Amino acid sequence: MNHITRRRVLNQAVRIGTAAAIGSHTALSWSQQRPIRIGCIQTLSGPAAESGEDNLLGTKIAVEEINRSGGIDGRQVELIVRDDKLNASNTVAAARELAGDGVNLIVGTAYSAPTLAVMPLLQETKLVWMSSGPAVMSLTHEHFNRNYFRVCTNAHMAYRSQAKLMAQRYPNITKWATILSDSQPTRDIQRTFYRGVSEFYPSVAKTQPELSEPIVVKIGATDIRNQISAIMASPAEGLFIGLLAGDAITFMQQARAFGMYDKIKLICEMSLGTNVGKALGRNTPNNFWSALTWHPMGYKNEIGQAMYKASVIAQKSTKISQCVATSHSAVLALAAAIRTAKSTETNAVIAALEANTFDSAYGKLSFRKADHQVLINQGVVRLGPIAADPGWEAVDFAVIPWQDAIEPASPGVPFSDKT
Amino acid sequence: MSVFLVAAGLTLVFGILKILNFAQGAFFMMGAYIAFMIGATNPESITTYIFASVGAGLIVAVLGVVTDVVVFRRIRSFEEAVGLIATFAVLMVCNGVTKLFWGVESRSAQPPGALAGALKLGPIVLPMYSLFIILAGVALYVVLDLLLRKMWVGKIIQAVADDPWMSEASGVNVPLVFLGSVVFAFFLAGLAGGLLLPNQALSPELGGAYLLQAFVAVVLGGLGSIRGAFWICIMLGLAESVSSLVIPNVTGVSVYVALILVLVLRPQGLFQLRKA
Repeated sequence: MNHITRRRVLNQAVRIGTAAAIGSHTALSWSQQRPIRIGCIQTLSGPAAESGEDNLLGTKIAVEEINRSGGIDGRQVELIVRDDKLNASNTVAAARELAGDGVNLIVGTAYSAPTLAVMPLLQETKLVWMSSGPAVMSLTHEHFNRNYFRVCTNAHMAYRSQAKLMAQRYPNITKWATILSDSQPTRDIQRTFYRGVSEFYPSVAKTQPELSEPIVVKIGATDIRNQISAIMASPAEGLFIGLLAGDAITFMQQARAFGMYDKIKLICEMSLGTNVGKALGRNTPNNFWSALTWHPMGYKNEIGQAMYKASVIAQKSTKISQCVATSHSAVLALAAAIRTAKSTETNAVIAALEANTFDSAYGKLSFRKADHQVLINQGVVRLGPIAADPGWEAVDFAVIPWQDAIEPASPGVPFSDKT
Repeated sequence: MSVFLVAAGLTLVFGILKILNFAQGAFFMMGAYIAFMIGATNPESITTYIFASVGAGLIVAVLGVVTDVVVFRRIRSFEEAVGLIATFAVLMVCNGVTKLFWGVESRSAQPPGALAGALKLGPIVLPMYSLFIILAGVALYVVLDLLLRKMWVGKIIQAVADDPWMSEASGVNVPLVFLGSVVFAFFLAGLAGGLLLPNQALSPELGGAYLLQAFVAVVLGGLGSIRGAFWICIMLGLAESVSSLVIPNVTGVSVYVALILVLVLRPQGLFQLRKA
């Protein structure tokens, strides 16, 4: 016989209440313990794989550091990697796949063309895209997208700065030639460098530069000797190399036999940085300057030094690519934004990224709210050969403050370097 | 001439086995990496350089035996398209293995000291290494031409290439001839990789860079024709040099213009393979 007694009702109420409390606590813990998923779409195969691997390395180092120190608000970070093979269609497909899988935070490819390809779908798929490499101006000008953040210098900042540094350090080297890969981004970079030389040699060095017509090389060329002969026949004493990765190494190998390094007193290179030293060793040309935003000679902060140490261990080499540092910074920017917003929701993260200053290997960084361009100093490293292993070293590292390098913000408007 | 060093093995495999070996570039690349490892012991020595190149050739020849047993024998009776796809798969495997062992970063090797300088003839600079490669290509052509056209082993290879059934009926060990041809073609790929190591950056993309050029040379010269591949490589090199002076802003186009013209006007190639 069931007796409904006060005691029985109270017992049941306590049981139900306890079960509910345990259940809700478990549900809360479970969502708190779910990892924060960050997508990483890089070029990991094909001719551009070296930069892609560097980007991935910087991303992984940052994720491991975050997870070792307890994650973001107690949640571990899970990195989901995709290889776009430097094919814009693959980049778009990977972005859609990750978005469909619930990943809204992406550290994206270092290349301009695939990045431009994904821009139209960022808002539709609610992705936050952090770019750690593309230099093309349009990403923060006519193709500006509020879901996109550039965590590296752009072409104007990088190559105009490089030209200014050359005018300051080498005012007597006024005759310049350039050799570049047959692609639109390298042509734009070359034009930016030449414009910088035309501006800064008269204003800083008080000399007039002479600029030779650019010499163009097919991407993937195995014989660049015709073009080397053209450079040797020119009056140039300074050379700007705008060749992609392996082609730049091939050029420098073949140029040596022609005596180019006796004729050319000063070499500026687009972006390989210390990768040149690793590839050429003792055959690294003297007086070789390459755009490289980060180097341990210039940045002694704890985050940067820890990142460099992890990179050296992973790569078994002292070479450091700026891709490692910028992708590392991209993850730290996202982590800081998530902590500020206390959310991974797209609009909340965007608002936090726009407002935040975050710690990075470069020191404190922030984004310019108008166009989402990171306010980051440009660096240029000088390499040279040495007798001892590994045969090369970084001789000098110059930092150009971003205030001297950055262009005015003009989101939605095509960039003009004529102003 | 550097392209001929790669194209020679490619046209040999097609001429004998009727297989368009898409993986020739990959084995050339592996030869370069093997020579890089061997040559690193004494990079200044020309003896080490030659030894490393020959050693790379021998190791790649062994890989050729494996490839023949695993792939070529199974696809020999099928049409050429099947061979293209199968050898493309071999190419992918080789690229993956290379990245696994050596990574994706670019490396470089300089010519040995004896080949590092240049001859200066007035304003003209001729790197010693380039002269060496030209001589190596000419020597290879002479050896192959003599082998295939004047020596008994060449006669047997030509006979097997023309009519394997009749050759077997005549007492020729046709499978052994096929295997020998494959081994030799792969040896040439590995040797080329070693000899051309100082020519350009060493990376997993090296095979692809030469493969397309080698295919163009083989197609234009006539599939299976060593003589055709040799002369076409010279002609294309000259065309590329002239076009770099005349239309410097449009690079690499002359090769493909020549390819289109020849395929339209003489699709069998400029130097047709002799048929019985």
